[in-house]
Amino acid sequence: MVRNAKEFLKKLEELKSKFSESIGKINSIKELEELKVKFLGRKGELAKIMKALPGLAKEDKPMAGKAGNETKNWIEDLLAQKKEILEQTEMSKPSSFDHTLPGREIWSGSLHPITITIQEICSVFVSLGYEIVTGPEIETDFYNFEALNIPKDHPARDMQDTLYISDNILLRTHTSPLQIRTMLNTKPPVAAIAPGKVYRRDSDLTHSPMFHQIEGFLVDKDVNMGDLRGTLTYFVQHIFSKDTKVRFRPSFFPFTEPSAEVDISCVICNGTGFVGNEPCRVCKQTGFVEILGCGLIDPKVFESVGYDPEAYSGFAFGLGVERVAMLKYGINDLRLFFENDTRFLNQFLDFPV
Amino acid sequence: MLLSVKWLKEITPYEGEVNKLAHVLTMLGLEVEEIFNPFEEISDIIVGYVVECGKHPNADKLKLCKVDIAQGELLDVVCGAPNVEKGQLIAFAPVGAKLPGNIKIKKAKIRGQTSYGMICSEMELGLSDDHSGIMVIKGNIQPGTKLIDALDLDTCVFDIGMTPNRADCLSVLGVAREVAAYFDLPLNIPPCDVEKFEQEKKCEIPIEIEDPDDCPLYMARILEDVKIKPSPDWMKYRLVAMGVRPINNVVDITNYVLLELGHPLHGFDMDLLKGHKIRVQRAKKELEFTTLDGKQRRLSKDALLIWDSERPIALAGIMGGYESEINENTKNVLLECAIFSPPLIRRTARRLGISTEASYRFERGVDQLGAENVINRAAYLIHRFGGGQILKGISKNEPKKFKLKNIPFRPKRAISLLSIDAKSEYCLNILNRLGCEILPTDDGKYQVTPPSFRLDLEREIDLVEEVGRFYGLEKIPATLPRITKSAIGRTCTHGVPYEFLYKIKQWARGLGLQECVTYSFVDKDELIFLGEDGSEFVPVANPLSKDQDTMRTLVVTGVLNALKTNIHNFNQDIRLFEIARAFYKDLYSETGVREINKLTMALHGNRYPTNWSLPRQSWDFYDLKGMVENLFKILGIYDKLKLTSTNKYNFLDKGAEILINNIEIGFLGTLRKKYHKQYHVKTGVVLAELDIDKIYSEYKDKQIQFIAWSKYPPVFRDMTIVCPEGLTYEEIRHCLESSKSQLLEEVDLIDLYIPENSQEKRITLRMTYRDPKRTLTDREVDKVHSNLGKYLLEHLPVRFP
Ligand SMILES: [Zn+2]
Repeated sequence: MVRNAKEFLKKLEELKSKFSESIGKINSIKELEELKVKFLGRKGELAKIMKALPGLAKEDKPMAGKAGNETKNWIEDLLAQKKEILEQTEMSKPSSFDHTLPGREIWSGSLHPITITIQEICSVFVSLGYEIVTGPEIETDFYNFEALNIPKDHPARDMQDTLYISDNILLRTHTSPLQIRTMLNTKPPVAAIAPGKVYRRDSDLTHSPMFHQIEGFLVDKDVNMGDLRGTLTYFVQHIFSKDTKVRFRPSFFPFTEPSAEVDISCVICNGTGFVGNEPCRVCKQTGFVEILGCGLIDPKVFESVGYDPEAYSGFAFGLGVERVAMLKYGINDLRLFFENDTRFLNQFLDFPV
Repeated sequence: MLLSVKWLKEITPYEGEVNKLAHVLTMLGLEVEEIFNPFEEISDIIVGYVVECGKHPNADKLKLCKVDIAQGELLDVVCGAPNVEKGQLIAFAPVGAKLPGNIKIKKAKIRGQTSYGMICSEMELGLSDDHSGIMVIKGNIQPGTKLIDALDLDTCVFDIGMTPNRADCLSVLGVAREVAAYFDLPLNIPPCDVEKFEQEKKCEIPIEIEDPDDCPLYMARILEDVKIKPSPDWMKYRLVAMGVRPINNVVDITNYVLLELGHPLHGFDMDLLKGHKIRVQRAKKELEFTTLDGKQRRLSKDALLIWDSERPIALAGIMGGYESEINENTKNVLLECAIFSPPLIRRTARRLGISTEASYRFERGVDQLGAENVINRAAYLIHRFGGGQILKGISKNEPKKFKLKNIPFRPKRAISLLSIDAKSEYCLNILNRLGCEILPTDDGKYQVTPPSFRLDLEREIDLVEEVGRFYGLEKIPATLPRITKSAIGRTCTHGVPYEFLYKIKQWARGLGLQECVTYSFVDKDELIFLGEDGSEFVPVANPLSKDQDTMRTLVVTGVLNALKTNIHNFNQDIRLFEIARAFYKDLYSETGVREINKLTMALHGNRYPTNWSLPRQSWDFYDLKGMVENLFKILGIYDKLKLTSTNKYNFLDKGAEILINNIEIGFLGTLRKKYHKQYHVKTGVVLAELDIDKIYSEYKDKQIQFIAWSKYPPVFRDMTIVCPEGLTYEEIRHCLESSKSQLLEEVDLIDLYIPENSQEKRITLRMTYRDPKRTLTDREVDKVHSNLGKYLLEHLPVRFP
């Protein structure tokens, strides 16, 4: 029984030396935990000694309490030191932990390259201030042809072999009806971009009966051919690369005049016409590939939507999404887009914002 | 359109490089798609001289020749042709040379005699159908010369992709006009001065035209005592180069002039016509007519025909008739040169499914003022290469004269639309070089009259384009326009905006699904097979094939077929989605069709990737249901979602209908076994299809509303109840909700156990209790929890275990 402060302090000293001896024999964290309980636990050695504290002389109590606390801290420090040492030895021991095992994999989803391409193209135009519009895939002859200055029995209809639902209803052959629908719905200025599925009665290695187009158009005061060149050059260099060359050559579309076809320097052979020593198959050695059609909107189109062709002018362009994707990714077979083989889809895991 | 560069140079003296010419034409809008040598296959053939021609010692029908090809030594050549003779110049294929059809000439032993090459016939060289004997070359040609040089063939041909507006360029003359205008070269119109060869006897044949709009001009010339024979070699070879089969001089000349001047002509055998009269009128009733290719064609009543006094003799502007065709016995020729209505020719040609060189040009428009030159050119050539007499003058009926157009033109307008750095004079000069007449008008504008062959120039904008074309679009400076927009938002969108569909795609991608894109049309039988009733089908009137004959009413066909492809290709673990439209007949729609955006998903194979620490488990209904619920949660419309299970979809086993506000918007379920074979499915496949338009209409006005939460701790209590098999979880949830227990914040189903051979199931629920304003004590929660238990026992056929 502890009766005075001296005995109390002596007990604490004995405890310390007992602890020192004990901790020297400890070899594992588990033993160390047990040791901690033995000395510092609620019913541990230190607690037993501290029980005598209330019975000490009043003037000795602060000193004794402080000594008790110091002993506790001293033990805790030693425990912590020992723990660190033990942890280090345990870590350096060989173990079953193998950081090279594969992680628990998460399924990778993907967007179809057509979607990726559409989104990337639309983003470029949205950043320029265009808005995205959509419309029906089944159209009337009026929106798909008549209003676009493609009358019945006109050779221009040969440019697009059409799938019909009835005499007057058809699967849209291009996204150009969106020009008409949008302009009929709004007053100029208009700046819109219209992605979507289109259909042609054509199926072979380089034609699919369903494919995707993007139509873009701008109507305002004083829109001119230079603006069209600038806009499409900006677009091409954003989608492909800064070094891509853009070439405009005259062409014909019933709903634009002047009309032009836009070629870009072949991205497969960098416009050289050769891949290694082999002639480039994509551009047939010309160094250029056709990428889109465009022009100033024909006054007849303005008339059919009730715009004044003297007050306003505009440009329109249309491009094939699959064609852009094929060039961009080096895809050599159009059919791959619609087979949806996962070995194809798995190559497009990255996604646009 | 094919264009021989050599022929072009005969009309305009272009001296520069071929590639430069091709580039210039392309940049003028006449795209040179290909440059090729039509005689590539006989470029190894050389001219040989038959020095000796004796009998083959071992074969009566063969001859043994010695041929000189200017290589020092004479070559021994065995030849079986009856017409080979000493002193001939012949087409010779030496050892190593190639013949058409990729035949390689080798040294050969023929009946004991070695032959070092082959003497060729025209047929073997692809120059004609003549295989009666070897080809004998006329003229003074050095042996060893390449045959293609000796014959002066058209070895450089452009294939030009001609746009529909440029009818004027569908001839050598037409392209030559562009080249001459661009390089400022003279234009040498081919000779057509027939007058000096005309007879006293007049060409007089009455021509009746029923409708001037159908046929504004019909001209005829008559040539008597013409000798039908093969055309001169140069013309035959030129036609071969252009892909036209030589037939006889008269037919060849009409083809030649068509290619040269762009105006289709037709020659009739005068003696096969009945009565001395030509009529141009419609069929008026359906009738059978045999065209010169020997095919019997069924004509509709508005087909335009050329008639003699009794019967139709030609399908106007498309093809001549079989019965009046020029043949080897023809003596007297009636040459037709006319103008027909482009839409009418086009309609008839399309209806009959034929496109000829003639119809192709008439559809696009032919130069009416140039027609006289054309018929004279043809008569001149027939006279020259077929003899006979040209009767005096032209029989002509022109009920509708061609009117030149006068177009007001403002050079300033052209300059500003094209944004080019040029003066008015520059624009006017270009138009002038293109053959336009230009007159200044009082108001400072100009009146421009395009030449008669430029039918495409009708409006000011057409002239603007011409200026741009010759200025060079490449020289126009690129500027980025400033976009001014109206303050009003979106202008035109069909149903759901693009951005929403893209958002859903990104959501599905994030779940690990892969997007596919499939055709919108399917086989009608597939839809029926899946149980669609067909009343709303939208059939395609002219599908490419039966498997694309109906617009799909179910978008799930796409992922199912993509699944089939993948399984077929040994790909495993397939998770697909697609967003596409379904199409339904709808009388109230502008197009007669209602288009709905649908999301469809399919899961097949394993729930987790193959991994050492992940279980091998198949996807099931609850995986996909979880995905659907997640979508609704993300969009903030989870409270609108409801599922029913009435098994209305034939192809679903354990299926459910998805409802929003009690309106069905799609389905979810497992593909029924019976359908596995069709899609090559071996293990289970879970499918869903949802109407995105309906989801969007719930979503579009949703606004996230922040709600503050209780800062007091929750208390959890579990409860296990035993229920009969038929009791649904939803019924239990409803019951819990109806208890209106104030403190009950959330209920989670944490365990479901169905003992074997039992009619009961054990359900363990975890209740979360919480008060917004204070900390709950264990005792009060125990009380609420036990009351809730009693409530369940009272209202549901359940018991505690
Ligand atoms: Zn290339």
